[in-house]
Amino acid sequence: MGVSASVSASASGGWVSSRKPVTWSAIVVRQYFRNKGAVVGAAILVVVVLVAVLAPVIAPYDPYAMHPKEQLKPPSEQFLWGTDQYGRDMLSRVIHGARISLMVGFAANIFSVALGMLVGISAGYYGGRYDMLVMRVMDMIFAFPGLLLAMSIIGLIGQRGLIWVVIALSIVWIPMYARLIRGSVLSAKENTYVEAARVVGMRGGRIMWRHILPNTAAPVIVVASLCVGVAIRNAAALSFLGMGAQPPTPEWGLMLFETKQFLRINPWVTVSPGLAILLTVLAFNLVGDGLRSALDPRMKVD
Amino acid sequence: MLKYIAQRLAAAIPTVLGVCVIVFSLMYFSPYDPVAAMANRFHLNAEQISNLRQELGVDRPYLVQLGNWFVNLAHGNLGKSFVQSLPVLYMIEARLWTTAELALAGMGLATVLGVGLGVLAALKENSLADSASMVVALIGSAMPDFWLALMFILLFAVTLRWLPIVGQGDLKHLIMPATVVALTEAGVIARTMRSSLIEVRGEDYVRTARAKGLRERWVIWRHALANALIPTVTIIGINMSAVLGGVVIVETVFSREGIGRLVVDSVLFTDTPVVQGSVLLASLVFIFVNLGVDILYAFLDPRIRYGGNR
Repeated sequence: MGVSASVSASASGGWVSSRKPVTWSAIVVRQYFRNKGAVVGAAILVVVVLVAVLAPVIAPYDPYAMHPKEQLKPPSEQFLWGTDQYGRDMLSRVIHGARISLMVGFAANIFSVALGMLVGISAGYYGGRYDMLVMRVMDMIFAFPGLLLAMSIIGLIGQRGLIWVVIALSIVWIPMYARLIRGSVLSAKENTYVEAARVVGMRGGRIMWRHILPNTAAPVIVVASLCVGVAIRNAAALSFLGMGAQPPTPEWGLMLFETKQFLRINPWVTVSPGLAILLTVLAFNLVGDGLRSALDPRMKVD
Repeated sequence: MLKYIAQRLAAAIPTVLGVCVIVFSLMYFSPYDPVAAMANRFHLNAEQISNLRQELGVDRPYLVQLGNWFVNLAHGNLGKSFVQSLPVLYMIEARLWTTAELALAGMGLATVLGVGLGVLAALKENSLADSASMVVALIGSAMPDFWLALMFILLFAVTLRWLPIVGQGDLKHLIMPATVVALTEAGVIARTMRSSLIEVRGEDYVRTARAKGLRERWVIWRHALANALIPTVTIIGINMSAVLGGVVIVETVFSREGIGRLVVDSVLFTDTPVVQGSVLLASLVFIFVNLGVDILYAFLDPRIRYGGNR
């Protein structure tokens, strides 16, 4: 408590505020940190991001460097998390994997959000038959289960690799973001200042940019934070199936794919990348939930 | 009620048609040319290549091909696999039950676990049991299913030697895969169940029932639970599609001969007709499951039946 503007009486009997006014962002931040889960999630996320950014600096070895005599060794003094089947240091690989996974997760969602926004705002604002048509097409894409659709896109394109994973995953989520944003637009349209802007003669595009767009931000932020986690997990899943990252990239899902045959020999090699995925996705989930309750507990996010 | 069902069916048909068109178009416009790939692999000469093109019908314009595809579809002909030269429909049929068995078992187990956990958490709201259950649910939904599958294999198959790793057909082959699927889905179900039960418990009609002097158990079962189930059922329906995706991974890890693995293998070998056929099937299943959920929803909540505002 105590962040609210404090007031003091002035000599003439009126009230004078002597503190900076409380901003909306300050309230949101404070509400966010009340939620224990959200704090834990944010902490984990900060660690993961730092690891990813500082990867070349903190990784003890080059993730691609092989040590032929040290294959599949358990954790030791020399290799803190053991080595994989080519003698590469697992710790360095997992650290670099963080970088790759975060990039993939963010990239996929940025494209999705951008295109979804384009579709959603225009459909919601202009309405009518355009809206109906666009939403029908979105529903058709939405009719496919996510991972399956991403796989089929990759399959029909005929190429493998992380870039295609990013493209496929972003296509898969456009309908969800479009629908979400359209919902916000529909309710934002009802505001009087929009009507006022139109009366004054503001062009549609400008209205959309200045008045409607900021209203769509909140649910998008919540859903996006959850979806980056989902993207990371799906990208790892696709790499696990052989369609995503290709060897020797140190991607977490690919690491599981390459080492699953060695379960009997050295299980630790499969435990560490999987745990990394779990923790990262968990962190994003917690942060997303925390943001949702901080921004507005009653917000419609479906 | 019947009118509602008819309405929903009618709305589903254009979606199905649209899905068919999209699936076909994706293949048509993709940069991958199966004929060129085959020509490379089998060292065909020019004449064989043009014969092949004619045979596959890929040298005709878009609309003609689309039309042909639909005609074939109506006859139940989904084409032949590029890799195995078997009819796609046959390949799918052979694997259908394995996948269905896994999906149903997994979803069923997930529902039991999720609803149980959610109800427990809601009844003991804000206690240790509540927080613990929700943490478990949270971890469950964040868990990468391929990793969980590997850990299960490590524990039950490699270390304890209780269960087999690969194959399908009987219960002991089904336990691990179904449990993996269930654990990843149960988390979401538990959380939805908990929040909707908490919300319903605070409603007026529940308070009225208690005031009438009915036993707590009866109140919970009859009034609260049924209504709390409504959003949960919706989530379960939505998650059926996630299960279709999750089944893919689980089938691959446990080497089950199912549709999921068929899709993966055909993607890896760029066996386009099989990819097309399975994607079509998956989306049809999804659409009809959603239809089923909608109908169930109307059954549970009479307001929907009589055309309330949606």
